[in-house]
Amino acid sequence: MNMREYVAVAWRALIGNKMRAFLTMLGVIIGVGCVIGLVSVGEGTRAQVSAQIQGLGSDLVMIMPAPGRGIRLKIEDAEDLKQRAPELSRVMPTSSFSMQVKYGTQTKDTTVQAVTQDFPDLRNFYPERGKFFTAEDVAARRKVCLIGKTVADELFGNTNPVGKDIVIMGQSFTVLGVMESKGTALGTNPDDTVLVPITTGMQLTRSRYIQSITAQIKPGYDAKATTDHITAIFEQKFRRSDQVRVFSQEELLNTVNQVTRTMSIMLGAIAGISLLVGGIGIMNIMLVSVTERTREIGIRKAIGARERDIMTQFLIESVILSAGGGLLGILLGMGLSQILARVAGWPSVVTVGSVLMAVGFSVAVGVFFGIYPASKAARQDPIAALRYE
Amino acid sequence: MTQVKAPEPQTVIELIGVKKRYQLGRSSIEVLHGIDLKVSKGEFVVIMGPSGSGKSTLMNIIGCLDRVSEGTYLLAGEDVSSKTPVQLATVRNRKIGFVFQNYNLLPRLTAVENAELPLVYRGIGPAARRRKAIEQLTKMGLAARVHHKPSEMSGGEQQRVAIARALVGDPEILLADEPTGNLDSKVGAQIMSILVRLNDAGMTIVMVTHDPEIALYGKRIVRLKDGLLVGDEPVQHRRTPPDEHEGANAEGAQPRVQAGLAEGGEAVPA
Repeated sequence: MNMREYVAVAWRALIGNKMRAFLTMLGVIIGVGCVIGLVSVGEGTRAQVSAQIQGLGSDLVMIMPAPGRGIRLKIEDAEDLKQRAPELSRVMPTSSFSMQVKYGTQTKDTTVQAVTQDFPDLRNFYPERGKFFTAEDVAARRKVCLIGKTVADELFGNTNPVGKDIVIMGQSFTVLGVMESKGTALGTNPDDTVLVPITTGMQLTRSRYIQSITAQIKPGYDAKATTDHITAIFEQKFRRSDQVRVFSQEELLNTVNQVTRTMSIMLGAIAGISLLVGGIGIMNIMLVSVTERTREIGIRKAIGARERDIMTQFLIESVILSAGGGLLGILLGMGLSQILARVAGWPSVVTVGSVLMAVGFSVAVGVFFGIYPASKAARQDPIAALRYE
Repeated sequence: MTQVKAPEPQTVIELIGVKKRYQLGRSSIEVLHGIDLKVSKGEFVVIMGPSGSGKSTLMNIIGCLDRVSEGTYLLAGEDVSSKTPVQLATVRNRKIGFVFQNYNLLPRLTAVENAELPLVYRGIGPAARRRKAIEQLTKMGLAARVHHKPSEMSGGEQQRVAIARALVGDPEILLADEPTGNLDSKVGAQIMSILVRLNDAGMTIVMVTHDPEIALYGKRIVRLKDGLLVGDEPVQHRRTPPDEHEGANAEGAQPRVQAGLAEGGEAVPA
């Protein structure tokens, strides 16, 4: 008896009781559907966050004062850092504020970022129209700015903003250009921003300090070694350790990946439990089925079926139940992930890995929970089984 | 110098000092106390005895469904008392055809699917085994019923499907356990006529019955009591099977039982 025939026999037995087969599969369907759906959300989130971080440039280092230490950074600290850390190609002091900007009668609450001419290359974020401000603009504290796509759309509509003046905190800034669109991600909108020179920004807020330093590591330098070096430089400068927090984009990426992966695993584990429950359901029904078909087993044995034949027959039945449930569950999971993506706006990616895992697990569940009922069937004494009513 | 010897009848079943004990908790019960029995090819042996005499146990042993506790069982010259369960399954599949009192057909399968089942476990391909199964069913006069399920057939028809199933694999012996027990006397007689014809064609048959009338269709009656053989004699006034029409009319379905047998059966697709 070859595999195709075993499958045919098992299939007929299941078809003979469609409702029961479906209800038995339902546990696996829901289990696998949840695994696929939830893991796809986890994966989608991870992919989006890491794409976002990578979009910022993966060779970036952020330096900011450690909270509660009373240390504050100045523009000079950034210049000093550039002198002392040769592995950094660009060092940019930055601050950002939530402010209202105005053009004519239109107002817009946005994030004003005070940066330097290095911003486009550092962040991999360039003007689409016009030009970015220069080192000279920064040095001269010129009241110039670039606006993000969202700000441009809301303040100017169809008008070309380049050369127009907008008002920030009562002061007039000339728009040099409009930044390209980066698109919304994870609830933040990088296009909802206004970029001004750091010097102008500090003047505007009457602050002597900057909020953070963004630096770029030269190609070929190790991120971890570089952040260690920067930490050492600031330790020396402030004569105490832990005054600043230094982290590279790479580390951030790793952390985010780790967090979202943990999330995926946890979601998967919860869904896995329902798969387990589905498996127990299969075992339960298979045990009932073995008892119901005691006579059939006896007849088959009397006419020459070996234990192996009976075992295979019942095992294939439970694998069909679980694998069938698995396949339907994958469809359910894909639907679920689509719904989550559309309705809740969660990013979701159904990966080949999670599909393979779901299929593998459901087949494994079928085999694992099918072995006991199948071996119980195979071990039936044919004489007793034939007499069974 | 040439001496013509009568050909020695080939021994199909040989039981030598067969005992069977069942373990019940700590005590064991001996059901067969040492049976010696020899059945030659072409015989029609009827085993009779009151209930509890051990005739079912003896049938199970002859049918290789059970193993002897002591003694030897030779089936077609082969010692089956020391075989493993897997080997016994093969013996059952190839050398033994079973007919049961309650037919024991699989209710979900059609007549032809039931009849071909032994060949399925022999690893014979679908086309070949279907052809053989239809051939046997046709001989049983069931050519028009091959795609019916047991629930759609009368008791007599079901038993004929069971006989077709028993014969499909060309067994050495046909074991019939109360084959007419669930049938009325007319249909029972019809089944017996099939068995007699099969025996006439050379098939060795061992049948268990408690019905003395039915027993008279056999050639030899073996009596069992309390696990021992208490009688073994040939049937003096053997009953002849009923006329083909008589049996057929009782069934009302297929009037060509014996005719089908005699013709050797062309497969008639239903």
